[in-house]
Amino acid sequence: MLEFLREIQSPLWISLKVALSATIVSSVFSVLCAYFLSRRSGPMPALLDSLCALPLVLPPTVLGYYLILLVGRRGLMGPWLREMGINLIFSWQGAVVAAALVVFPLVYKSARAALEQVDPQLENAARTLGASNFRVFITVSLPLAWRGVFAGVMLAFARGMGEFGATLMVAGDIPGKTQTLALAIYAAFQAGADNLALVLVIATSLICVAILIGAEILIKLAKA
Amino acid sequence: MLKAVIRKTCGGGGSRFTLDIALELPAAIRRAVFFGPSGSGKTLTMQCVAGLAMPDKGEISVEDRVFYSSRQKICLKPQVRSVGYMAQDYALFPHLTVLQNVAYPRTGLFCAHIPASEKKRARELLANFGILDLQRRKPGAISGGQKQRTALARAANSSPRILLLDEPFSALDPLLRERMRREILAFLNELNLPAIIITHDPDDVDAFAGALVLFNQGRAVVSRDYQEIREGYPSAAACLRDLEAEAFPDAAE
Repeated sequence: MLEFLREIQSPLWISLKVALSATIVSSVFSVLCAYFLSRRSGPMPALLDSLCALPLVLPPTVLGYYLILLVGRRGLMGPWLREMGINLIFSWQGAVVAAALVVFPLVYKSARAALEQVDPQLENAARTLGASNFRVFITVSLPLAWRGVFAGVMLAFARGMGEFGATLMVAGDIPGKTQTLALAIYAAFQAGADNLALVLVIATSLICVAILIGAEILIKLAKA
Repeated sequence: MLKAVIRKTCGGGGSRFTLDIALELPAAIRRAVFFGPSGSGKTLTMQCVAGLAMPDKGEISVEDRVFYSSRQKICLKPQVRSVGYMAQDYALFPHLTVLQNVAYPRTGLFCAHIPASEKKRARELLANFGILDLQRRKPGAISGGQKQRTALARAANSSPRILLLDEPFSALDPLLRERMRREILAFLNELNLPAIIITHDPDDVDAFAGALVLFNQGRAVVSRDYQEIREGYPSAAACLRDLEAEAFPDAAE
């Protein structure tokens, strides 16, 4: 049993680190995107809206491949990143970028739905009272939409814990470095370590269920 | 007080609406009433003045300050117009307390933190309106008249140069309506603040005009000496009916 715990510890830690960082990065961008796109109409915002939802339907391997084309050593941003001293390929930071891209639409979709529910009259009232657009967003729109945003963030975190395809493409499967829970399960299964795989599967399931239930409880508590 | 030359077309197909007005109210007039049927362009005009709607072309200035001019390519943001705009349902922030709502024009990114001097100022305003004891309540837990007082105190706290009230009394019961009318008049007199009021209620016209602006199907006609004309009529409703028939002879009853 102790031996299993040791085996779980490293991928669990990496998964938490990656999922948490990816959720934070992704949430900031997706909530801002949701706010801007929900307040504009026309063909261009509609196109961007579809683009923001795209990671939901594309296979994670495709997303991973695009990321390699973008941030890989010979990718579009490769030379620039090298100059900055950033290496995303086969590093845990790369796993964060991959997971952030995959979970982006989860926060985007629920944040957008929640922000669209905010009464524009309230935002207008704040503007006539002299509040800048940024202050309106922070003090009116976001507090009134936080429940939907928060639900999306928790969903993203749970999804990030289980990210597999894009992470494998970008960050590889290096034990102790980029091997997350989902990757460790695959590795254990491939190696025929069925007992370890089962333990990892149960651990992952429990964590994800706990996150979702925890989110529900927090939202209920805030309502009361 | 107000100059508003506005042309604006909204919607398409069957719901197409064109606002085409040219108003000029001299500075001596401190109170004006926008009167007319629903969908005649009163609220849209007010939103154009507040900066919440954008005319297609025209010119808007309040107290000699140009807010919008398509010719001079001026369009001030609503944030810098210093217009106290009170929407029909008061638009109080439901997640903030009454005190935080009133202090909102003068607080920062974190509304729960109100500097001591601003807290004092907001409390004085609340005391003026007789609702200091409600300062910790949320808007969902106060009555219609209390909401209106909160909204007025909040607008006053932003030091507006003009107050725009969109049907301020429509959500109140008749007794409260009479009382709020008196309170708002006293408040406007005290601050010597010019105000424009949208209403469907002839009694409001009696109480507030000043100048009367009649709206009909996107057009507007100014009737400057309402109080004089009113003296020849037994009731405000009869007087307004005649004025409307005179202003818009082609409009259907």
